[in-house]
Amino acid sequence: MATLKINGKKIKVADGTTILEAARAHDIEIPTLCSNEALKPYGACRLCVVEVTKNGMTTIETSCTYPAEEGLDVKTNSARVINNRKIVIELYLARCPNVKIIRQLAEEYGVKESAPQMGKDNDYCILCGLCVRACNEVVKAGAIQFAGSGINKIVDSPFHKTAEDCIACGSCAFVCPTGIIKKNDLPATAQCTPEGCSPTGPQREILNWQVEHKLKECSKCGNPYAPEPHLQKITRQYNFLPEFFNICPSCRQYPVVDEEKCLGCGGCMENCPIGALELDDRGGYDKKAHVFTENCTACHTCEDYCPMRAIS
Amino acid sequence: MKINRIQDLSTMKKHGLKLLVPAATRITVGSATCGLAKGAGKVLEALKYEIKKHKLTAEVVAVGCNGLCFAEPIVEVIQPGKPRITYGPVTVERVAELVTSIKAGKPLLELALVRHDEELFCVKTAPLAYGKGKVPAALSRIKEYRTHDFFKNQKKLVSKNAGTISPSRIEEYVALDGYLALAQALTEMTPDQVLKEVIDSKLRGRGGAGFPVGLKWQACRTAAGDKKYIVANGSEGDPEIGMHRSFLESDPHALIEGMAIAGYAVGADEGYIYVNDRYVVALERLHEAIKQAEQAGLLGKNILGSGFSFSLKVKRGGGAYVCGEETALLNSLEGLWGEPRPRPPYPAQQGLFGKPTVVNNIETLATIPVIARHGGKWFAKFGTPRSSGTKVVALSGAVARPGWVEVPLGITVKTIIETFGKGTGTGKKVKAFQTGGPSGGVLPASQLSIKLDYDQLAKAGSLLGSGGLLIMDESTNMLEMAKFLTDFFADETCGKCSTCREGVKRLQEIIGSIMQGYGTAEHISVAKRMAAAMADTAACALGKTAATPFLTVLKHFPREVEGKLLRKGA
Repeated sequence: MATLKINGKKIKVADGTTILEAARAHDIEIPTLCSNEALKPYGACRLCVVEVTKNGMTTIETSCTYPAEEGLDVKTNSARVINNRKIVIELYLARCPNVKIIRQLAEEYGVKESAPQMGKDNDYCILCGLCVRACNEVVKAGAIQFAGSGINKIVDSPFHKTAEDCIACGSCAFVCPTGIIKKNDLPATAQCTPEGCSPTGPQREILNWQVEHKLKECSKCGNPYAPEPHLQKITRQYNFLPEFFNICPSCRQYPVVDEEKCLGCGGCMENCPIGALELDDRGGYDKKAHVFTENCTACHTCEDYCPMRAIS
Repeated sequence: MKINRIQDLSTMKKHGLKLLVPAATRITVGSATCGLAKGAGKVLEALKYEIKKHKLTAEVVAVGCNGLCFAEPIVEVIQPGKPRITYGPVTVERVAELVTSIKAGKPLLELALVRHDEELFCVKTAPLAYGKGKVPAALSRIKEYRTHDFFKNQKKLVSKNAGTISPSRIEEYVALDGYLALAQALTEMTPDQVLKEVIDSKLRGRGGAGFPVGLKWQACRTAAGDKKYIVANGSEGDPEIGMHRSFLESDPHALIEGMAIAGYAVGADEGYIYVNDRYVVALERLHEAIKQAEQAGLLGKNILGSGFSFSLKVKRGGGAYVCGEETALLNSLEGLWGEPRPRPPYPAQQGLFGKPTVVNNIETLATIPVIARHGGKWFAKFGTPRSSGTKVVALSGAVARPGWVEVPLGITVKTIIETFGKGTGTGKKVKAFQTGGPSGGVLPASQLSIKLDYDQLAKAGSLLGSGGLLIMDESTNMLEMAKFLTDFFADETCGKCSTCREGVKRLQEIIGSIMQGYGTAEHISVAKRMAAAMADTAACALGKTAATPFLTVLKHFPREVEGKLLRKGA
């Protein structure tokens, strides 16, 4: 445990907490553009800067990366902090004048327009790195990265060509705060060449990484629900049965045990690939199969192994 | 030869001295990159050819650079019983003439630069005399080392071997008391004693920030963890500085010894040397030196029977400026993007692969053997009380004699330019100078009497940095200089922090508008506002100092900037 002061308020936090987490837990608002609970702290946007006094030394630090240490005195809204934040916003405004989230921030902090002397671009990427980090840290696909050097840094697929490792999961588009990553799910169409037309199934495209992948169609309802390489990756990663993703999550039905028919032989339990079945001991020889639906993946393997056809 | 005991070192030393002061003639050619660029490779071949032709018994050896870069290619001749003579510039055309003079036993006065009557590398022990008795009359016309203005004002502690010994012979390094400091530390001192000597020396990091080395080591020594690392920073992405390269090409064993001592003091058993990939010759010689040290048993398991083990690996870096920043360097070493890591945790707590790590500059680590051998208090006598010791300064730009010199800290910039650089060489006056590489401030000629130490330079708005000294003469356009340096940062920023990346880009645009004649007073106030935020919020020293060149030009040369501004009503 560490005790520190944030805006004059004494706060106790667990070790390993950052200043940002400590502040947010106590309803102290600090703006951020590049932080996400699922990702490691990065410190790129510099919006979350706060004034930290430690051993009599006052410095400006990013609250998302600075550990909440014993005896710190943190100010999240001092004049120096606000002034710095305003300039950061102004710099973002000069880069991305038409991005909604930046405009909202500017309005909140009373920044009208970036100084005309600075020059202006019309970019939509703020280089927060959320997409890159989500792809590498969480999805572990490693399909996209930063490219270019210095002020010409961008987020890109390898060599500005089709991202070979992209599984079209769409995490990048989901975390992007500016909405510049374009993910489209296309319905089934016909692809036409001079030789003739051939029908193609529904597809997902991510324009930024020049990726196009087939969407898996549910064998029950027929709806396209997820890109195939994405499902293949999960199947490999968690050792699912190959046919597991034939049905979509909304059509998936968990096996139900007919207790009248069940003999309690345990055949289903032994053959369940993930151990989602157990035998309920009801005293004596009376045992019945029980399905833990929170673990069950609805692969229905147990159904095949039941000699009494008690599972459906 | 395997070194198992401290006595084996003296055997090797004897062998090495025979190589350094041989019974036959020894001719050395300065073959660091500065020499090779001027044709030292061809000179070496030509020397060998001529010697064969004249049927002389002489050995031709490639050595490093002794700082006289302006007079490359440098050739030194040692003839038995005669003083060592340095010649330069010895071009291929002059080789035949030189060899004839060697054969005749007479010096070639026309090309002779310095005469060395005795070797001063042994700082505490008695100097090694080359000849006996009075100096012959013919030689007395060549200036002696101790009276030569280029050398007499220098204090060579770290670079004492550079240009004298062959970098690819461990025996020659040992001959000049090399590895003695390591042997003494391992056999006679505890790690705490070594650490105390380093703290006593008040040595500060030679890379940029000037953090006390002893404190850094102590933090790493006390940090929890069984595995620790020593990392040598030889990234050197600065455009005008090449002393790490020169050093590695001249005396790589000093770095290896320094790192092993650091490992012993801190409790690390593994070290990494991160070297700029552009330093081809340096890398080759470093690899060779490590191999020799391993074969001699001075690196590896159970060094000198002390139970201490230390191994070294060389990693090549792409030469990005930001990778000289210690946490970005660690990222680069781990194979990640060369972006600075958030601090805390500091590398001494969580560094390479998450383990406590000491990251020191190559020059800092090469200073360690000197401190370990002669004591921290002895080292602290040089320089000023708060900036102790000596510093290698790379002199470049508008100087008559560019090169590097090792001087005690506290020397004035004026002295360096006048004694070592011999003025601008163009007849023009010095207009400005920049210390510490691109991140340093551009200071006007009126501040030439500033002392070269950490605190004075910081007060003046600059930094000692890695010891670069760039001189600009009156023909320099300061606004163009500011643009050049800002463009450098625009290329070299890692692009992670918004303030650094965007700020540098905007600064570039503002300087561009001023140069094109659209600039107004408003442009300057915007630039100042942005620079203040960059200094406050950027994550690393690169971002914090990226605006320094422009700001100092603005401060010291206001007329040149304001003269370009659009006048009101125009």
